[in-house]
Amino acid sequence: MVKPILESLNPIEILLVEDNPGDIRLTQEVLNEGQIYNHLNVVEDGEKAIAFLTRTAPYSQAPNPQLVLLDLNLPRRSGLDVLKTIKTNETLKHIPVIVFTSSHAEEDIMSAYSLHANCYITKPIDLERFTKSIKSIEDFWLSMVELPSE
Amino acid sequence: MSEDTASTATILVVDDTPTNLEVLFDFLSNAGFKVLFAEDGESAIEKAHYADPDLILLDILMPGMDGFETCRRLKASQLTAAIPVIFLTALTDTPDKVKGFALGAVDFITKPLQYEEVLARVKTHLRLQSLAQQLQDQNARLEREVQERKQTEAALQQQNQRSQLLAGVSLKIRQSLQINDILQTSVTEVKALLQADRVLIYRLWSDGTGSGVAEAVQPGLPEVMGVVFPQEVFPPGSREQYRQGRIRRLANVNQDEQVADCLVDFLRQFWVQAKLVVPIITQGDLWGLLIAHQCSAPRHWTTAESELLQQLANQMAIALTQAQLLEQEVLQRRELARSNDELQQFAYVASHDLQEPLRMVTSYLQLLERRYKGQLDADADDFIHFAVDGALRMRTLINDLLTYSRVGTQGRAFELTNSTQAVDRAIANLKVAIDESGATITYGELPQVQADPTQLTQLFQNLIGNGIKFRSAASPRVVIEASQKEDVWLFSVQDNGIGIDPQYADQIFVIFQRLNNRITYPGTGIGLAVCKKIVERHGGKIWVQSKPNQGSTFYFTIPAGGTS
Repeated sequence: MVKPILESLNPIEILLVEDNPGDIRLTQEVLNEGQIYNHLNVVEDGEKAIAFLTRTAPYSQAPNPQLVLLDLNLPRRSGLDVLKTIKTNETLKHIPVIVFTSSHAEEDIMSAYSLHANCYITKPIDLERFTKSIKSIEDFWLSMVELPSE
Repeated sequence: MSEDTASTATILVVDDTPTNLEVLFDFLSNAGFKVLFAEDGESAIEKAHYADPDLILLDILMPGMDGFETCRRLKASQLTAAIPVIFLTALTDTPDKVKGFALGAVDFITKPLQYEEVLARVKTHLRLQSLAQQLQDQNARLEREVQERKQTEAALQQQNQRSQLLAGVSLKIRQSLQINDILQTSVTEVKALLQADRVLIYRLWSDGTGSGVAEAVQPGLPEVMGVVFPQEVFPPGSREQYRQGRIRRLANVNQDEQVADCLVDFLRQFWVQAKLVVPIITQGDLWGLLIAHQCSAPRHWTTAESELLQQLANQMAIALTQAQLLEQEVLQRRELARSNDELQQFAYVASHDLQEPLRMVTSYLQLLERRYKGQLDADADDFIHFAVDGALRMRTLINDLLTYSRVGTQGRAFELTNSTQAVDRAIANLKVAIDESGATITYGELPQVQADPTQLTQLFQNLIGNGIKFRSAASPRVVIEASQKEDVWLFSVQDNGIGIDPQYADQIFVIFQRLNNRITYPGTGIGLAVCKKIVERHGGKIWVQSKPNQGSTFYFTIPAGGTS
């Protein structure tokens, strides 16, 4: 794991909405292998995701995420529901949302983009490609593009 | 009248003067007539009755009953009225002649008699009489013929009407596909047709009981529907008789000794006075009975009525058999469709849901390999390698299974598809394999077909891909052709590859069946199974003709309906 060069720089706040512990850990591992100083916040269902984003208890002290990694198949409130909430909320809709899911279904892809997902990535089945996907997200969303600051 | 008949005609001469009689007798006899004579009115009437002469010469002036009175009586009697009467008279007064004609005479001959005149008049009137008789006979015959024709016509009309009714009812019965519709239509129509008070379909159940399953009944009469009749009402012997086709006609239930007491009670309960019963036999079994009841009064059932009822029962039996078959078929088809759906759903869900845990296994094994390779001993490295390899193979299998199940679940609607374009797309998708192997793909003129374009591309891609993959030492050549055979397009994809032993010709289309080792020919054995499923979804067939080392030709058909 490469340590960030400047400790004083604020880490990039990422919100991962994911209920599978295996995927959470895997995302953490791969992000930690990367170059970007980030802070990964994790919530396991749609309801908590919305609470986190709107800083509702118990997330009243939560940071404003600069990027959301969103699984679609979630307990309580679905990922599409969370996406819709973000993209119809004036104070949240600027946050880039990357749908990161195992679903290949045509209708999921279509619905996600219709609700203004910023991109849709299918979780690759082997580590090699998974790593590549996370790296691409890092390279593009956390390095190349300018994100609105908090 | 011919001269011959004229000669044998009988003439009755009535005159009170014997001399006159004698002379006329001689003269007419000589002319060939049979001559009878009478000297007064009484005996003239008597002779006319028993001898039935063809003509009467009647003197007017006679003692006792004169000629006029005699004539009146002759005309009054039915037996003699038609016999022409010619008066003989010395009188020339017109009033007498008028009176004579009024009484029905046909002519007058004035005395003294001119014998030639007598003969001429007699002959004329005999001829007239004969013509009149002929005319009358002919009229009578004509009338008889007209009568006969009218009767035939009436019978024909009745028969026509009955067969029309029968045909109409039969049609209605047979048009009903649901068993309940058939039964209800039957009772309603039969009741109207026979003008019965109640028509009932009595269903016999296997345990010996029976119950009404359809009924049309005159308002106000008790309904039989819903009543279950015990076995005693209908003993097995009676059942057997009906099974053999017995028809039962009861004109008066109360006076028939053959009717069992308990049946009489039952019949009374439903006000039945007369009944007509025919069996409904389906496929040799007594399905039930078609029963007509008369409740208002006893009724004598005609043979025509019982025949009609039996014919209708036969029509019902046909309709019932068909409906039963249809029902079975619909059930079977529904069950098949359901289990097919379930299977497809199962395959899809299984393969889809299996991916999640598999992804975990694969990813973490790979993470283990990445982080710890070379840090454990060589065995550990091997073990990890085999585990990763197995997991990756399983991933391929699951993906293939998903692809296979998607042919059924994710297929698109058929549209007019250019198969040349489908082949071109398949070739484009196979570009790498074609370039690497130096394969040549050629195709002739290919038709437009009703198909799912994506699946048609996949079909060609799998078949062409196989031709390249299973190549022999020679560089691969694949030839695609199509021709129309009756109502299908027959496609062929021919290669010059390693070929297939004919004994495996069916096996190769089964999912995950492989004939060759996976080192030389990698793959899961899904390709041809997918091909088969695609072709079958399009309503076609797929098969192979091949011999080892002589290449293979895959054939498949697509229905030509609705194509250009």
